[in-house]
Amino acid sequence: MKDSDETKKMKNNQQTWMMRGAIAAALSGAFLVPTVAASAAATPVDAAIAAPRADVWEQAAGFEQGKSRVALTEIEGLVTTALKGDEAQRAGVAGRLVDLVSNAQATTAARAFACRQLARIGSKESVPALAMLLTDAHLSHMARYALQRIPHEEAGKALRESLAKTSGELRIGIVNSLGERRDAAAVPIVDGLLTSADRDTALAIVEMLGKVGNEAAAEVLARLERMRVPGAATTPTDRLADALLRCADALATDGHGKRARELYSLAGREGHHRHVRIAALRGLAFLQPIETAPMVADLLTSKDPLWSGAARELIAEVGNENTTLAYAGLLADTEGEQRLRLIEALEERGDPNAAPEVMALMLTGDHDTIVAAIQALGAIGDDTCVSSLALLASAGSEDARVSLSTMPTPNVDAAIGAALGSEPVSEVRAVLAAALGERRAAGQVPALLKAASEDRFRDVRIAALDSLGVLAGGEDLGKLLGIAAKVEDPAEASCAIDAVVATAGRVPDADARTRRVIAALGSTPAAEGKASLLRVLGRLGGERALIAVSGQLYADGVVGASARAAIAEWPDGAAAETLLGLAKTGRTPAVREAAFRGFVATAGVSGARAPREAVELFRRAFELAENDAEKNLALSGVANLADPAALDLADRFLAGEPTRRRAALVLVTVANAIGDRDQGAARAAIERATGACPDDAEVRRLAGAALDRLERFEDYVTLWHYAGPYREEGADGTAIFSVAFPPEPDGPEGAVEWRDVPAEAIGEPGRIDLNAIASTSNACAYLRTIVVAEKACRARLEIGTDDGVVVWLNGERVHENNVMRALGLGADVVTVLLHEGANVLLLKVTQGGGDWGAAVRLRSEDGRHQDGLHLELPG
Amino acid sequence: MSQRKTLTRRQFVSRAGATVAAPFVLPSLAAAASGLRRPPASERITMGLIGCGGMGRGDMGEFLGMPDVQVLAVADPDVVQRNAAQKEVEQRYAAESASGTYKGCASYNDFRDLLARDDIDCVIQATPDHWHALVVTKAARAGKDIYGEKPLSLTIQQGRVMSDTVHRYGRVFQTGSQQRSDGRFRHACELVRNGRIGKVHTVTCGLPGGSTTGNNPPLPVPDGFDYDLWLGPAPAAPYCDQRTHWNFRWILDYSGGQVTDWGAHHIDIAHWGLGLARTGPISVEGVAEFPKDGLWNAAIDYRFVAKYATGVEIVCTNAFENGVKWEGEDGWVFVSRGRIDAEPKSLLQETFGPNEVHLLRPEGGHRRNFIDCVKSRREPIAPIEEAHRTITVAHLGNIAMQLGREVKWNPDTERFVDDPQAERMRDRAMREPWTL
Repeated sequence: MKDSDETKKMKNNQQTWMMRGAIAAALSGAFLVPTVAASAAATPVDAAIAAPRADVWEQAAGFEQGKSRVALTEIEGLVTTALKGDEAQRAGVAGRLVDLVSNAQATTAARAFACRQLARIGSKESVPALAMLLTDAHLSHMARYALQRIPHEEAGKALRESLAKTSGELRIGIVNSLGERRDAAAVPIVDGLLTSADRDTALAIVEMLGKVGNEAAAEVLARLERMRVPGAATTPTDRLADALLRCADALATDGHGKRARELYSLAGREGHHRHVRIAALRGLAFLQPIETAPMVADLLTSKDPLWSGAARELIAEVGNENTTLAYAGLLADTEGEQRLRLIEALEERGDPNAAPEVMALMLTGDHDTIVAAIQALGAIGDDTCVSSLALLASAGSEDARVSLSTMPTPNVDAAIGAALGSEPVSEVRAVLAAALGERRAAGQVPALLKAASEDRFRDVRIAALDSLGVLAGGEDLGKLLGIAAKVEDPAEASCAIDAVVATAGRVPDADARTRRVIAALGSTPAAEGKASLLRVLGRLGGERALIAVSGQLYADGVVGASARAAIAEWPDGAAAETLLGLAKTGRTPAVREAAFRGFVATAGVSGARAPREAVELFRRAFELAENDAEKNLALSGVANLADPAALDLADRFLAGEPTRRRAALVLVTVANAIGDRDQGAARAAIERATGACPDDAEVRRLAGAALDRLERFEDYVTLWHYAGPYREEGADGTAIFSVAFPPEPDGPEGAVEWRDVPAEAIGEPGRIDLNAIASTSNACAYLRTIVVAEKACRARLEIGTDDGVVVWLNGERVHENNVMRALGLGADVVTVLLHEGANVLLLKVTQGGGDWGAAVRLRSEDGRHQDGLHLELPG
Repeated sequence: MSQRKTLTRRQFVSRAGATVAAPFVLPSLAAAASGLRRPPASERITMGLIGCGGMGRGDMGEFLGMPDVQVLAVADPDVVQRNAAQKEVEQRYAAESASGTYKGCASYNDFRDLLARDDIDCVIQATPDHWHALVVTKAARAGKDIYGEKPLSLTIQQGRVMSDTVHRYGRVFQTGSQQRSDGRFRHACELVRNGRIGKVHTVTCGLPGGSTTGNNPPLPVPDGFDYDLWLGPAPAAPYCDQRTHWNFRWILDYSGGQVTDWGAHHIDIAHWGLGLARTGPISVEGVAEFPKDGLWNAAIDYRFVAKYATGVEIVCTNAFENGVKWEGEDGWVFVSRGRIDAEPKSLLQETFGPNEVHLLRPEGGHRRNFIDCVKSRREPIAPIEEAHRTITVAHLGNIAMQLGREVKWNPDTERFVDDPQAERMRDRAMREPWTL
């Protein structure tokens, strides 16, 4: 803020915002709180509205743009109050406004203001004073502003009478207002003006007639249209054509179909532009949906996509159920491409009334027609289609399977559930069971449980179990555990385990669900059943489950094997320490190996612990690894760690032949994960990996992909610390630009908490999404990094921000742009001088509302990659 | 009959691989960069930009990156803005040309000259709000498809005429309410639409508050700025910098303040989630604090409630976190730009069955969806009728708050119920010679 005017504005803003605190508090409370007038009654202005100052009208009469409008606000308040009052109150205020309108000594701005208020409160008594202004070049518009909205015939009469007293744009304005009022009485008058009117007025009259939209207006418009030379070219923006269409639409709405058809036909003639003729067709199709159906259906195969698109849209939109039947009835008489397009359009229409005709084609048509019909039934089919679609699906039709899953009619679920119990063919029952899951048919869980436990065919039971995994609730867990405990077939057992795990996940209390599984384990006699339940516990994870599974690690047969398999795939990152201990102390090699595998699988699980802590765990794991196979196994876990420290760990195994390849793969994988934050470390790691395994195709492929990704980030600054968001009472997104906060070189003193920009806030290419850090409005945040230059050089900063930005380099303000905008890459370009060594780059990014972010690219002065620069985060 | 406004079966199958849909995925910026190769010039969708301010150039920047789009012209009454836009186009295409130069972008003061060109297929409409209706209707009448910035309209009546005109001419219209193309917003809406939080009773839209400024004295009109054209249909007023460009939106002659500026986004999402995008409330009431002095006169602090026939209420206020929160009998969902949350939390990982509601998932983002629909002649993800219904709620809020009382509304006839005072506020007279 440099000049005094702006400073005043700021203060004004701040004062207003200080008031806002009280208002906001009222607004956030119980609704409805005080009315506007009451809520601010303490202010001088509202006190004046309640009891207006004697000189308020006098002050208003002297109002000029750019001066205080407090007096006008008071009068606006009077109008609002009067509108809630009785006729006498309204007449009193309107009378004062008429006086102001008529006051030749009042300023134009004041009289215009009075017109605005009369638009709200004016009556037929206000009309004469307003009519006087219609011929005034400065006030004619504002007079219409009021008259157009005064719903009395006197206002229309005044507008009509002024036609003879005006010319040029003022008369055009009056014609426009008569059009908005749909003033029927004006039609013969403007018709009379047509012969002598200038071109612009004549066109305004044409448009006005379109808006009036009655029989008389239609007659004039039709006459004008017939005066055209038939087939003569028109302009794309032909206003007569538009008026014909608009008038026709109004007539159609008002029940004058015959005249509307006439106008549509005129607008649809040769010579009119394509979009006008399409509009005419649309009008006719809405007016006569059944009669136009054959014509519209023919257009489906037009080579012109605008015509064929319009036809498809019309079939989807026009008419009612009878129209659906009319279009469906055409199916039998169509063939080839047209029939396919018609089926597709009926599908889009979504009316089940077309289903019988479409189903008939599904049974009798050619291949393409059958496929289209099956697909369409997915949108318009009902319970009567269930058997046919299920039969087709069981025969291998993927389309039928999908349509069975998508048919929207509510009674389809029950029909499928019933068929599952009665259908004699097992393949069809399997399809039906699967469809219930896909349809999320929760009401059919009993039918599925019955099928899962009683159906004689394994495929049906498996399909039912799959669906139960989707649908069963916590209350069904007991029944599902019972089924899982009895299953012997491995494939079926796997499905049962999946279903139990998914269902257990819907029991809110994690400990309770584990206890229920453990209880079932204890009461299950069969080894296969115990094995299944141990796998369930392995999938659920948690401390209690780990104890239960550990108790079976040394059991014989499938039970012990299942327990060991469970810990080898343990899902729960918190168990990593325990598993590492077991890998060291297990009594048998099989247990130690399983625990080691479990550790590798869990230690790198994202979110379980900080990546650096995971790296430390892996260091210990490598000490336990007894052979190269285990080292390679552990390395595969390191690959999950998105942290530069993981690179050091992998480097240790780059030298030895048995582990070199796996270590190289870890390097490129981790480099890919950290490249958006630390391009230098990523590039160096990729180089080490390809140097160690120059001929390994997989290493080279992954390295190439990682380098491609780095290229997309090339030269974008993604290594940032951020501070904020900062806000200031009373400052919006524009004002906060000028408010200094502690991170700024000249800002007020105060502690600044700099934090790493999290990975999830970094998009491509180099966009920092500040909303992902703190979604807010009317705020700002700071981004800071260090650019290290090997030698002094000029460089170009390409800056895109949403919204405004200030840039400091080494404490010097090098760029600013107080703007509300979307983020455009390189929207601002600044050339800067970098010193040799560390340069501190600091950005302030302001936020009005909505999207908020920044993308900064650092390039050479001529816009290319600049060698000899790298980024570091401040310590 | 009405068209399906969600994924058709075909679209669903092609998206979901004929199985249940995956959990929502955050939009990828990389996905916006279409993998299309640049087709010959004769096969590209040709485009013009009308309104070269921040939003317009932001929109255009993305279209410039689409290989099958060619921007041919820009229009703005401010020579500074239109020159900047023209330069941006020419620099972009120059970088792609063998010669390193490009001079194929025309520049117009008057958008009607741009619309008169037969060789332009579609336009970006990014003018101030008081121009939206005129630009959109004239573009539709000229046979252009339109990417139109929000808020759709300045008045309820204008929105009705805009939607009718676009439909009359069968034009493709995409509203610039890009939240619909964001995975977070879509997932939140699909949760609500598919009943995951039970019957919804309240939706709260947190919008920004307004601001004030001083009584800015008139200033000389800057050279090269056709200010009379900028004012266009709005009442005559002397120039000052706080009136034009970005700040127009705080003045009720040109906009509806934050109520419409952000209401256009969040009310749209509220409707989308509720499945009420083609209807409207039956009553609206609210309170607001309007500036008592100064150039800007849109609401500063406000809270209004729109009640629907279904019983649900939409609350719009600046005293709530920016975003949309649906509250139902079985839980709640909150979504904003950058954050989604729900109760129960498991909803965040929820998937939906094939016969449930799947909202459109445009490939490549919101603007790409527009171009794809220009080619396919299908309705884009943010159609004009729904934008009109959205912004009608914001207009009703402003009207109720200006009247200081409840207004009753008939969403079928789009008229106030027995309320001639409110009815007068459905529209305003345009300055001559402009008319819709």
